[in-house]
Amino acid sequence: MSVDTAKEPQGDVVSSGPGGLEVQPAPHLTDPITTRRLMLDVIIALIPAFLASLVFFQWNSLRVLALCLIGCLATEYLFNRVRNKPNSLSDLSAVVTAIILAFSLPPTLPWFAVLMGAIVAIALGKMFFGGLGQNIFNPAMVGRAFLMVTFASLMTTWVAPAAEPGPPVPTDRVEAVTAATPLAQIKPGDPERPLPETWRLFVGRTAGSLGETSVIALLIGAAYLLIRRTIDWTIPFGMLGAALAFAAIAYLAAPGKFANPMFHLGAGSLVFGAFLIATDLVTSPLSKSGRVVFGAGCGVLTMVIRQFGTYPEGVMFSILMMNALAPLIGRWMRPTPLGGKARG
Amino acid sequence: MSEPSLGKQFTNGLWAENPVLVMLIGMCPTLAITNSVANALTMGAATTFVLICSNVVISLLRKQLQPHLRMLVYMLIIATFVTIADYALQAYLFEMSQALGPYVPLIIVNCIILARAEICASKSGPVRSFVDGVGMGLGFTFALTILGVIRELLGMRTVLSYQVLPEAFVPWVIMILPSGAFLTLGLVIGLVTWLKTRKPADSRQNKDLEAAA
Amino acid sequence: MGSMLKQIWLVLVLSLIFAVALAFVDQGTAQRIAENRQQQVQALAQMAILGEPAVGADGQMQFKIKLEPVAIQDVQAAFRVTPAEGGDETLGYAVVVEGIGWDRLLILVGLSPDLQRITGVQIVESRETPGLGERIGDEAWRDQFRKPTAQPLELVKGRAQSPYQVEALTGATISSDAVTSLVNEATAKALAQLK
Repeated sequence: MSVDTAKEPQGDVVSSGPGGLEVQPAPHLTDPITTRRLMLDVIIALIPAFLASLVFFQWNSLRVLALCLIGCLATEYLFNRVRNKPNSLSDLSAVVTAIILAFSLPPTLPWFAVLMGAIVAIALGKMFFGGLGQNIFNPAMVGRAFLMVTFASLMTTWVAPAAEPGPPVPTDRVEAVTAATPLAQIKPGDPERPLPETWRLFVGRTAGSLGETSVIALLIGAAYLLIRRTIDWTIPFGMLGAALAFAAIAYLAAPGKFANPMFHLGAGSLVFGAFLIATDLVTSPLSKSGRVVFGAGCGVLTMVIRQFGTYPEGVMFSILMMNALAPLIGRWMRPTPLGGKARG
Repeated sequence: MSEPSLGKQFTNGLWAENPVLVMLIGMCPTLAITNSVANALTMGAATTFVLICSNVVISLLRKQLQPHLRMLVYMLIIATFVTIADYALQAYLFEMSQALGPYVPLIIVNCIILARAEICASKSGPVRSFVDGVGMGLGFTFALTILGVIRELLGMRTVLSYQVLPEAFVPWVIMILPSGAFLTLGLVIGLVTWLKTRKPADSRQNKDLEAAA
Repeated sequence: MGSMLKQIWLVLVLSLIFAVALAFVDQGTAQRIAENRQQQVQALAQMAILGEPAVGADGQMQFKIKLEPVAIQDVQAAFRVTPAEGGDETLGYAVVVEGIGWDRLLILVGLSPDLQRITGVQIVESRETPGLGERIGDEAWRDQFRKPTAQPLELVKGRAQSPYQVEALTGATISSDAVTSLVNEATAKALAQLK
């Protein structure tokens, strides 16, 4: 693995001549935006969704998140130790990976599976490639994909959220109530339960993974990120727009067979994926147009998997697939250099 | 070029130039059939048989072979022994041959055999070629078995169909899928490379060690 | 020119030697290989019709049934099953059909002597995904197919409501579907052609 040569830390100083005039390698323009600040913003943006998950899944939500944090941080620390690299825990990227992974897992996932996902996310998804900035795939999604293949049945066992109106769910025994996710319910041949009303999807009172259920909480966080300009509108716009357009066409063509677009927007992790996963700076293209294409690809693939695939949810695989294409999109639509002419 | 001792020729295939773990050839069976130990052992044995026989026969014929015809003759010889191995498996280990499917006939295109024919058998005597075939064959079997043990243990809780891990252990399905083969192979190769580069690093500096890790 | 001729002779002679060697190997193994194939089908047919495994406690194959080929068109193979210890009583019929799940899929369907019931379904060959599609091999799941043959079976997700419905394996719809349609194909052909 010849990873180390390409990227030396900024401390690599070129000394010219005996005078001691020191020239740092490019870039010379600096910006106060650090990785740490970006990551801190993302963490802040995820807080509302976390609070929502606490309400819905209670102790389980805390348990999964804690295990993810332990797994991710410990793996990152160990890799840095073994490879004698400066410690990268303080850039908080591992924390973000941990939270995103935790939010994408079912609340009842057993501890060993959660830990394994966290370790795989950091080790296989990030450190094997050489650390932050060199990974091709979104680490959290690598961890989740690994779990999805490894523990397929555990990963698709969902529980109904607590605080369910109507027949009271005994809150101390939430684990016992399994329920299908709204997306699993629209798969052909499972018509037993009526679909939840769309408002419920937006508030989050449906079965699902920790962070994906409450769309409103996610949107609050997303708004914060947009205002802070940590993320820009391109990828979420592309992804949601393409997904909704696709869903609308399918719905208009065969309303009985496909669910309506608003349902698709509220169900599953489309909003979560669009604002918080696909927008990962490392694994998406640099240029604005490239990011729109990237997002649109994610959106279309998500809907294709949801409506025609065997898996009920397609956000994870669509993002991973588009991650793989991101360098290609990047070549196709290069960003305009600072001060350069915009290309026609 | 001075020839190494026969002992060295033997251990060469087992470790120093292990076909799978060091030279990275013969990847197709390595990735395809190592989801159980029994598969790995059978495939290793069949390949070793073909390797030894073709090495010896090619070595005996080496003086007669003209460069432009040698590939043709190699393939003829290898195909013959592979067919024999395939028939023998179907006759005496029927279930195993069903499990291995097309991968037994595919030994014909296994790079290891052609590589050894070209590198060793066409240049050295039958005894050395035989030793080389045994060493390389065992090295191949060894690598396959390591992968097989890891994958079967984690993917099905068993080793050679005996349950080793407790019922409480949830099998890692990914390990018996092709992606598990890639992951395991990558990690094992990394480990072997680390072990191999470690020794000289003791006397030199620690830098090499880190680079390898 | 001389070396050219020598080369041609070398290849010819080698080919001849190898061909003879292979012919001997084939002679020596052909019968055993055919027996193995036959035994595999026989064992599965016994399991499908009598519900008893053919492998005894000592690991040796012991068969309680004999297979006698019958003609059904467009299937891999079809047999009338009779007792191993003589007698011409029909114990049932075994039909082997081939289809595609995620990959080649070969199954054996056991039918009662009057063709009114499916007595068992066995997987002869499959390469479905381990952990998902490969669960078509689970006995509990395959036992669902032991149903009357009056109507084609229907695969459903979730609970089966009628006696002609089979529950799909979760996460393995395509494999379940392939098996169900193969079973239907086998029974339909047997019903049409054996009457």
